[in-house]
Amino acid sequence: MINILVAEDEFYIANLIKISLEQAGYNCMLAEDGEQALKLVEEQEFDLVLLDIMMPKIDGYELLEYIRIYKIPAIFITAKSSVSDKVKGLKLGAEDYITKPFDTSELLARIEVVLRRFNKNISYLTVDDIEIDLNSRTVKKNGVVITLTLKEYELLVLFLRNKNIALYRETIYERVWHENFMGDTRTVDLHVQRLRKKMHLENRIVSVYKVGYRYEELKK
Amino acid sequence: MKLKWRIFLVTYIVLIAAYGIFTSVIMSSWLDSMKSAEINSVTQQNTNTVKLFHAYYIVNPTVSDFDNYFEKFKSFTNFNDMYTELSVADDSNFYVSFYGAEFSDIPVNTQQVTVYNAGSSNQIYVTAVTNISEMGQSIYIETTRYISPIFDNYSNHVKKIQMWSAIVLAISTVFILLTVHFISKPLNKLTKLSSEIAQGNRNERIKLNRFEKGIKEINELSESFNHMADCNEKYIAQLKEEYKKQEEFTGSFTHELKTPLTTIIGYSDLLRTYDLPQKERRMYAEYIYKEGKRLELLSIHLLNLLVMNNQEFTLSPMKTEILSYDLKSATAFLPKKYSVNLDFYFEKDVVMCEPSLLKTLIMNLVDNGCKASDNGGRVSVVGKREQGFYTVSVVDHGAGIPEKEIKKITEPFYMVDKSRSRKQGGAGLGLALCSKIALIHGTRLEITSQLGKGTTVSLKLKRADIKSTTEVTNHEI
Repeated sequence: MINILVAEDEFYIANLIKISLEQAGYNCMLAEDGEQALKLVEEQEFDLVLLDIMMPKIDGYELLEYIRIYKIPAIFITAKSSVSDKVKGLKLGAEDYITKPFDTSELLARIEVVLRRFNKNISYLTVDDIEIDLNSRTVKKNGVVITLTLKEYELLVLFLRNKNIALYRETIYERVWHENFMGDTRTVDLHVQRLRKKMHLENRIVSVYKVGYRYEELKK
Repeated sequence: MKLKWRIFLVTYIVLIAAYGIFTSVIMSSWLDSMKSAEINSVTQQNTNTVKLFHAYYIVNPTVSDFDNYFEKFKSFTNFNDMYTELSVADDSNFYVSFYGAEFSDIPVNTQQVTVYNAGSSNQIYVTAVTNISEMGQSIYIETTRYISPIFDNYSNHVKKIQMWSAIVLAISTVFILLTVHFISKPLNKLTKLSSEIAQGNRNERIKLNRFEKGIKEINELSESFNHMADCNEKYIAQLKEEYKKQEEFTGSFTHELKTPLTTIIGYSDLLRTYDLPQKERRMYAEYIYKEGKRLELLSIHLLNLLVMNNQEFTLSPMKTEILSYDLKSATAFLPKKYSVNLDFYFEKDVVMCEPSLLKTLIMNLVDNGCKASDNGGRVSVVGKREQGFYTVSVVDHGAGIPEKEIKKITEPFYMVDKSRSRKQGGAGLGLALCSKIALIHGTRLEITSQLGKGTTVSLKLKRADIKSTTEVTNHEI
C-alpha cells in the first residue's frame, strides 16, 4: 500500500484529496498544519507528501526543507500560481507543483507520474480474479491474458479503481475519452458491452438506472 | 575637452595676453617719456648754447680763425655727455651733424631736433641744431647727447620683466591647475557616484573635504545631490512598500478565491462522478454551499471596497435614535445565531454620517464581537455624546486580540485566528472595510484589546450643527 501524507490546513480541501486518493487505492493521512505534518513524517513512513504552501505554524517551503532529509518526494498543492512561486517551489526540490483549483483526475495523474519516477507506484491492480499490470498494460483474468483496445482498457481500470460505486455515464465518457460529454451516451454503452463480453463480466458490471454503471466486487 | 584643461587654457591665455599688453604698454610709455625728456634737455641745452654764443661774441668780437674761435667757445659749453659743435654753413641747405645725423633744410633762426641711430651697433644720439646768423655768416650750433644707455637700460628692464613674468606665470600655472583640480575633483566624484547609484548602490553619498566644502557652488550642488538621492531612496522604499502590499493583497486574494473554488469544483466533481449515498451527498452539498457563501461574502466585500475607493460620499445629519433602531432590527438575528446577549445604548444626538455605510460598519463590528464571544457572552453597542464629537463603541468580552496583531487587523485578508475565522465563514475583509468607512467619515477606528478579556472598537463621529437638526430626515433601513 502506498502511504501519502497530505499537509493542508483547509479541512474541505484536505478531505477532498483524501477521498480522491483513497478512491484511487492509496493510503492517506491528513495533517492540519506544518508542525503536525513534520511530526507525522518523523513518526511514520510515507511514500509521498502533498504540501500546501500557506499553512499555519510551519509553511510549505520550510516544511519541504525538513522533508527532504527523509528523501520523501513532495508535491506542492497551492493557490500560489505565479511563475516565480512555481520556480521557487521546484527549485526547493519539489517533484511537481499543482495549482488550486485542480481536477481530481489531474491530481491523480501527477501523483502517479511522481510515484513512477521513484519506482513506488502501484504496478498491479488486482480485483477478484482480474489482474492488471499498469506498467505493461496487460490484463489477465484467471491468469489468462486478454487483449483489450485502449479505450476498453481505460474503462476497465476506471471501473476497478471505483469498485462498488455507481459511475455516471457523462463522467465515464470524460475520464476515458478525455473530452467534454456532448450528450451521446451510446459510445459509453457500446464500449461497456464489448468489455463485458470480452472479459465475461456481464454479472459484475451492472447498469444503474438513470445513472450509468457500477462494478460489483464478488462477495467473498 | 576636460573642463579642467579648458579652464586652465583659457585662464592661461588671458593671463599671458594681459601680462604682455601690460608690460609693453608700460615699458614703451616709460621709454617715450625718457626719450622726450632727453629731447627736451638737449633742445634746452642747444637754446642756451645759442644764447651763450651771442653773448660770447659780444664779449670777443674779434674773429681771426673760425675753427679756433669755435674751439675756445666750446670749452665754455661742454658739459658732461653733452657735446656742442659749431660750424659755418656752406651754400647747400644740407647739414650733416658731427655724429652723422642728417638735416635737410634748416632756415635761419630755427631749431631742429632728431633722434639718430648711427650705424648698426645701436649708437643712439639726440641731436638739436640751430641755424643762427652771426658775424655775417650762417652758423649751425649743434648739441648732441648719446642716449644708448637709456635703451640698454630699457632692454635690461624688459629682460628682468620677462624673467619675473616667467616665474609669476609658472607659479600661477601651479595655482590655476590646483584650483581647477579642486573644482573638477568633486565633479568627478559626483559623476562616479551618480553612476554608482544608478547601478544600485543607493546608500552611497558624496563626502566633501574641507577645501571642497569651501567652494559654495560645489557644496550646494553636492548637498542638493545628496538630498535628491535621499528623496529618491525614500520614494523607492515607498514604492517597494506599496508594491509589496499590492502583491500581498493579490496573493491573499487569489488564495481566498481559489480555496473555496477548489472545494466547490472538487466536491461537485465527486457528486457528478459517483452515485454516492444520501448522507455523503448531503455533506458534500453542504461544503459546496458553505464555500459558495464564502465566495459571495468575499465578492460583496471586495466590491464594497472598490466602490468606496472610487466614489465620493456626502455626509448628512442623522438622529442617533433612528440609527439605534435600525441597527437593532438589522442585528435581531445575531443573538440567536451566536448565542450571545446584544444590547444597544445610544445617547440622543444628531451625527454626520453616510447612513448605510455607518450601519455596515457598526454591523460588521457587532458581528466580529459576537464571533469573538463565547456562548452567553455579552456584546454592547454604546453611543456617547462628547465635547465636539459623538463616540460609538462596540464592546465585547471575548477572546481579545494579541497586542502585536492590533495594527495589522485592518489590513485586507489579515486574520488573527485563521482556522476560527474560516469556520465562521470570514473572508478577512470586514475590518479593512470598516476602517475604509471610518476614513470616509473623517475618522479612524480605535481598537483597544486585552487578550482573554475582550475588545473595544470605537470611532468618533462629527456631531451635526444644532441649526441643521431641523432638516434631519428619517432614514430607513
